[in-house]
Amino acid sequence: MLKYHYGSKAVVFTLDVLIAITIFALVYFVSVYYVSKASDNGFSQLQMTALGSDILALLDHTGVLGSLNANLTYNKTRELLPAGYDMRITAYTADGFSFDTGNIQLSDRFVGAGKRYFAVGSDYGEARYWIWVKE
Amino acid sequence: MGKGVMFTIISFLLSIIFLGLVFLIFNLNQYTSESAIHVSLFNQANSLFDSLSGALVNLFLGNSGVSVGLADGQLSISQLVDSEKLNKYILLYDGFKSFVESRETHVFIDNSSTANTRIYLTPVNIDYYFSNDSIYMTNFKDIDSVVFTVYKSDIMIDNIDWKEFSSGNTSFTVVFKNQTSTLQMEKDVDLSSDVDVEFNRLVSGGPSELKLNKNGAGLFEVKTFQNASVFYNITITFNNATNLKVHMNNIVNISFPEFGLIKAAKPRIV
Repeated sequence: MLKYHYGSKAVVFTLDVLIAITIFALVYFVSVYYVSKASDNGFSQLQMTALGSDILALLDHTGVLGSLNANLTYNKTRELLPAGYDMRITAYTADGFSFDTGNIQLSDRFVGAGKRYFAVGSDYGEARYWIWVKE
Repeated sequence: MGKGVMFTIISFLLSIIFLGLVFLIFNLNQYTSESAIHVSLFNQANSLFDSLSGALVNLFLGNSGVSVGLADGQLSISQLVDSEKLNKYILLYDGFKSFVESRETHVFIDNSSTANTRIYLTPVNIDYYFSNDSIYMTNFKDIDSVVFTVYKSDIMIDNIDWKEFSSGNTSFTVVFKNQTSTLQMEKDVDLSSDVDVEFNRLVSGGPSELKLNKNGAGLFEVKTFQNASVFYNITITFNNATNLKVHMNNIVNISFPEFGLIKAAKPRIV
């Protein structure tokens, strides 16, 4: 009777431990998964895209974009772009003028992109940018 | 038996707490993801709006003959009236509208001729002979003086008859020039309230008026020589069906129906 009594307690204890470990492990892994996802929520990528947008806006407001000069645009972009980032800018106008400056974007990482419309004299056009973290 | 019940209850409560924790983390994750998407959309909409309004203003300033400048506290508004410029600007505006709308599904640049939805000029090269031509300028701050200059070859400036100026301490000058002569009126006015400057510009009609009005929209950003931004609300209106019109109030409405956004563009002079 005594042996049966202690044996029953051991079984219950073991089952209790197993269930507790299972629940703990489940909660732990789900929590870690979502916390890791939450930390990778895109705000850093958003910040990088906004940086590209600001640079293109500055190029527009200072007339660099309107100059339709690829070399000048490239040099000014390098001055404005923080270290660790790379950027490509293309532009074309209604009159058929176009240029493409900067490096080719990498395909193995997030690339922020956007565009602006601009006017220069009696011509107007569209400029696009791509920005990404360097290797 | 009592202990067993206690263990069961504690286990149950712990499970509930754990599940609640997982639920909260899941919701936090969803919320931050959605927030990033919303911020991204707003950034894109703002950037698009900014570039469109800037391009429209550049087209307007470069091709309409109107220029606004600020230097040493003096706001200068000049107007070189020319129907060729007008037609060119309207052509460019319509071209730009088509250019943008063919590329942006959710952008609509309103070019209807109803009140205050676009910059537009009506045909010129005619005399000022209606009584309701008017100019409105609004909400000036830190302006020491204002000079408004109109260059027009066929204006009959000899017939301009100044009637009234409200008193104040800001120098306000209106200059009309044609090919042979210049008429200039200078007065200290109070720009914090409505200023009425009435004059007769007619050859054979009733009086016209020139007004400074603190009410109205039309935010202008003017870059000073020190490259600082100064904002002014300015509305310039020659309001007459057959004479010159310059409306610079709410240039353009841009709608983003997908995002439930409507942006009213305002002129920005950089």
